[in-house]
Amino acid sequence: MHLVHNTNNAKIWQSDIENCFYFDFKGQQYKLNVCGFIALKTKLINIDIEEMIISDELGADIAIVPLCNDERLLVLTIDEILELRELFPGAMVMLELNSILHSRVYSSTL
Amino acid sequence: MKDLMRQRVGVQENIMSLLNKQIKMEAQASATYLAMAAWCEQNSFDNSAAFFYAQSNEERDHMLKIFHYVSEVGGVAVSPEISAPKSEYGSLREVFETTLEHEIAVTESIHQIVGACRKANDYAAENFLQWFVKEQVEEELTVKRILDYFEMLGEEPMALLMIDERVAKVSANGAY
Ligand SMILES: [Fe+2]
Ligand SMILES: [Fe+2]
Repeated sequence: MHLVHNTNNAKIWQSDIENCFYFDFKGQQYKLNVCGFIALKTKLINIDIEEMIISDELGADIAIVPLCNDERLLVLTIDEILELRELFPGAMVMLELNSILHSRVYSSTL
Repeated sequence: MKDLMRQRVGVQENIMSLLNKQIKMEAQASATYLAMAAWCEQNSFDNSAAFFYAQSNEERDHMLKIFHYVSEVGGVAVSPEISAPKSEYGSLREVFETTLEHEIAVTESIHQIVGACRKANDYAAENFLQWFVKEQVEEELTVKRILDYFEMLGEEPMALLMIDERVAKVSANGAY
């Protein structure tokens, strides 16, 4: 397992054996395939935080994000969303860096 | 650490998100042309209605083409949210002028994505988009041709009927 990126309360790992990511958050562990990882990151970015703050509807201050083909749910407060919005794009940058490393070091023929 | 991202996903994230935006744009165009077809039919421009029904189908095909590409390279294609298209128009000419504006916007958008592909060294996506570059040249030309008829014939009722007749030919033969 390789640690890809972490914030105060959350971590993203990559498992080279299982070809997937693990996402640790609030004492829970979630297994994500590559598709699931990208989908979750997109969902986090698409949450309308402004709307959550403005709305006075009951339950508007939490967001429910389905995970792993709806088998599990993430219930997130605004603070948590902000933290995960730091975690996932940060992890993405590290993964892109890893891709660059692979293409320059391992696949380069020049 | 393995390059899992690259192994599973053959498209970079920014290119994927641009392609998803294009999917939405094509879907929106499909809805807009459907509304235009309805307007033409209500105003008895039958050939123009047929033209826009066909355009609406084409735009949906364009959307699916990009959708399949994103999926095939391992990306996440998103079925887009469509806003209600404009359904009221002042004249047949306005309908076609709006169409040209749409097509120009699509052309610009495609060109921007091609530019982004070059920057990202995504030669596969660039190659995939070449079909759209060519398609847009034809689409713009067809609509420009129709707008020329308005210049030539004016907008009297008889002229409009003649233009509607012409639209049938343009859509049957392409722009030529
Ligand atoms: Fe199109
Ligand atoms: Fe078009």
